[in-house]
Amino acid sequence: MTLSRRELLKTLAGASAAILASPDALLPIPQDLAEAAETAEEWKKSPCRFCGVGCGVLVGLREGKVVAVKGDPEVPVNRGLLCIKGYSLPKVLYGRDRYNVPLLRQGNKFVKISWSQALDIMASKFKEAIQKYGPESVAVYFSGQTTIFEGYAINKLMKAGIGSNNVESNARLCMASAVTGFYSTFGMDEPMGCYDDFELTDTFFVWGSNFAEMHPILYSRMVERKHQDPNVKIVSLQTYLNRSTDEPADIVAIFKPHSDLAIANAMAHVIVKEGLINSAFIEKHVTFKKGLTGIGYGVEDNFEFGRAAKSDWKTYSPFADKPQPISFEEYKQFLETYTPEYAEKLSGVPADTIRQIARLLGDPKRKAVSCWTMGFNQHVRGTWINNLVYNLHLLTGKIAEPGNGPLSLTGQPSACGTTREVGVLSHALPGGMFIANPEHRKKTAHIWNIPVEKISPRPGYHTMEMFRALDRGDIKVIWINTTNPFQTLPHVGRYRKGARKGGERFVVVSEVYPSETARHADLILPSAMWVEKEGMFGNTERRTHHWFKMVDPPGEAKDDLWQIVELAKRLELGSLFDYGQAPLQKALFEEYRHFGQGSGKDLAPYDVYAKVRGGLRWPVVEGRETRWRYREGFDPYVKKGEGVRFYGQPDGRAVIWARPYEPPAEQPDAKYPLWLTTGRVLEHWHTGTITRRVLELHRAVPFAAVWINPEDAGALGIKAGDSVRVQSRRGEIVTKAQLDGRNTVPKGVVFVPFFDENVLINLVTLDAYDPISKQPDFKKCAVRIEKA
Amino acid sequence: MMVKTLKTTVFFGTVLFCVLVALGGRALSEQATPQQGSKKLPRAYEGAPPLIPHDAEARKGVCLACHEFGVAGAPIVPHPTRNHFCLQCHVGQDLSVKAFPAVSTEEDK
Ligand code: SF4
Repeated sequence: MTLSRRELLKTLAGASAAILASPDALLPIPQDLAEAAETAEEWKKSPCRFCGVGCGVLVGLREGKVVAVKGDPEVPVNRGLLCIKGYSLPKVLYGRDRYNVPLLRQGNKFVKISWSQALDIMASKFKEAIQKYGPESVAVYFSGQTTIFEGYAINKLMKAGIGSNNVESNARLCMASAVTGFYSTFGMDEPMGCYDDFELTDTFFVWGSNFAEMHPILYSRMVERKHQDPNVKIVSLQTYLNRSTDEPADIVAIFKPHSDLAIANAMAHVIVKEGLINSAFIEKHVTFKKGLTGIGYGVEDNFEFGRAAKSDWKTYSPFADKPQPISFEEYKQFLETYTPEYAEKLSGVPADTIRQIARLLGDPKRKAVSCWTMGFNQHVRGTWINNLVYNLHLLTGKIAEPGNGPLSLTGQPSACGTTREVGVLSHALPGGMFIANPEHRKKTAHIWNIPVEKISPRPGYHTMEMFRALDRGDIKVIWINTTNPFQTLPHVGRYRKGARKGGERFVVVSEVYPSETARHADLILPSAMWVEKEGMFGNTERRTHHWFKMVDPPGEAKDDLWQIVELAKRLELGSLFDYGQAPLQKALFEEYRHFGQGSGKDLAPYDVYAKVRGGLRWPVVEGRETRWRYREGFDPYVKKGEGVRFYGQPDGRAVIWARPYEPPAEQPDAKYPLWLTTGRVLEHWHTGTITRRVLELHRAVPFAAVWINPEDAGALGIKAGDSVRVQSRRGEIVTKAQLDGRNTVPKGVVFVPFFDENVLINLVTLDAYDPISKQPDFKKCAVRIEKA
Repeated sequence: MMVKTLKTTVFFGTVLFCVLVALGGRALSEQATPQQGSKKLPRAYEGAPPLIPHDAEARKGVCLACHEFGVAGAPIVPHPTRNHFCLQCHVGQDLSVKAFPAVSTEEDK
């Protein structure tokens, strides 16, 4: 046993060297690695089904079951390493309460029914609603864990078949602001750089992201880098102390929630004032713009601009920004206000620390990588704060080259690959195209081989409006798949009640385990998960992975693609998925590929992904992946002599945005004196539906505590372990107090993770969102606490 | 800056604690898992990372104080190049916690 593990370690060490030399290689699974595992008969490749890092795993199989996993040493993302969630993959399939038959609600109980009954009922509900109230009365809500095949199929069924654009994904809650940030600055979605930057840079800036816990493997690459080269500096800007502020962070700045807008502008202020800008880069590659201000918070139904629409949803026009060009001089004037001292007043971070951080980023002898996730994206000014960090990289020209670049981290394994690239959103079409654009509808209709009139020109409901519409009764039938909105939506009390108001509402939920959402369903469909089906995912760094089905799902559970096609057949739309004898997944992917071809989003043929361990980063042109976009010599779309070209923008120039500080939707006051911020823990995935079924993970973090600052706790007579009520204007929860451990919150802030269905912290949160991205802000609302 | 000082205090405090425990014999592991009295927990499967049989949260950041050289019988890390992010793979266990969901969810189904 010991021997074989040593052998395995040797393989791991050798393999990482090999992969660095040839990142594009097609590698078979080596025999000696397979031998190193005693428990498994056979090993196959797959990505991890959890986070957006997108680690490669080798799945050990024995007698039709998954019995082990290993980090795949040939996959450059993780080079053999996994976090504990990845290591728990074999167990996630075998929880004792897996759904294995379709279930129909009868009163307060669910009764077993057959698949044909279930699908007939579902189809008749869809038909009825469409007939009586039109296609906009039905909706689907999928996920950043939906595979590319499934996302593409549901998009086509809804947009080409049913004629409704009410197609959303839970990724709206996790990366919509990243997307609008990319579009407004670069005219095109997704990062220009990749994880390779982690080994090539010498300065890291981590913004409001506890990525030691949420993107563990990527974090470990940063830590390794620091240990190899002491000259490397890590700056960690956070709203509370956590594992990402621990060693080896060099500069830790704890800022008041929402004040990141002021800090980023103050850093730009210092960079401009101290002449740390790259003038040649700015002259050639940058323009300056400002947009609308005072844009509101979307807390009202049918929100338009700064307020609710007078009209109802049928005629309202959703918020849209109005960009205006400005000069560099005007931008400099805009920055005048944002002195480090002004930012200190708003943020609590000493002006000198802000200067120090700005100088590190501006230092012409240093490279710079910035990382962020939900702290920026779940932000009522999420688009703006994304823009503001791009500003820093554009001012200094530290972008789109090895070791230099902003890297927007993605939470889910296929938020990029499925939701963003396939366009599983109410305003989007595959390949980065938009519903509202007639040319894009024309191209889509052509590939789908349907008359262009079939695609409705009106964007559908975005997520928050979708669930408000369900509550109001404007949406009658909704299909929720691979996600748990009745635990994760902000101000979830309203939406939970809305779902069960009765009338003609019908809620279909495809799930693997009982969840808060399944408990609110009328019909539960048992799904296959991960390697119980074939799939493709796309991770943070534009990397597309493929895996084959390896084991059967339990009982009668069926994969979601099959469910989509069966529904389509019952709606007389089966022809959308009729590819003759061709295997369905391959046919779907080959059709989908047409959308990206020649547009900078080129994907390789299906057969290549089926073979490559670890996948490839798009655009894949002539068989080669792209590591740095927009840069000559790396990106095939940048012509010789152009150097850098941000070809997403018509003029090839990226935009530096003047985006001001504006206050959040709700701030602590006399009655609710504390900030509440929510998030995750390393051991649990999202709502814990899967990970809590793994005994080791459940025992590691059995419940969600509320982290309280010791001084705040002391003032209220609260000790660690005491029961505490956390209350807002919307709702309350009770859980145990924790004062230290992995997190230490500053005075005035409390933190509660959202994984625990018995501590439904989203009863407390506020459903305010960024009017540009329509992504809600889970990171700040006002609460009070008391001993319960 | 205050934070760093605090961290340093915690670090040295913990090292001192470990040393005291080491001098005091086997107390550490026994204290941490009184009911089980077991220093080694079964792995999830062959090849899964070993679990931590003591409170890992309270000793965060100081794993190597004991596990680098095997103080107080602590297992020595077999992967010295990966010594800086232990809690990513190795997690503590509250053995009093029963499997989730606690009650049968037959009625849920
Ligand atoms: S870091 Fe993310 S992708 Fe990698 S093993 Fe952990 S959860 Fe899976």
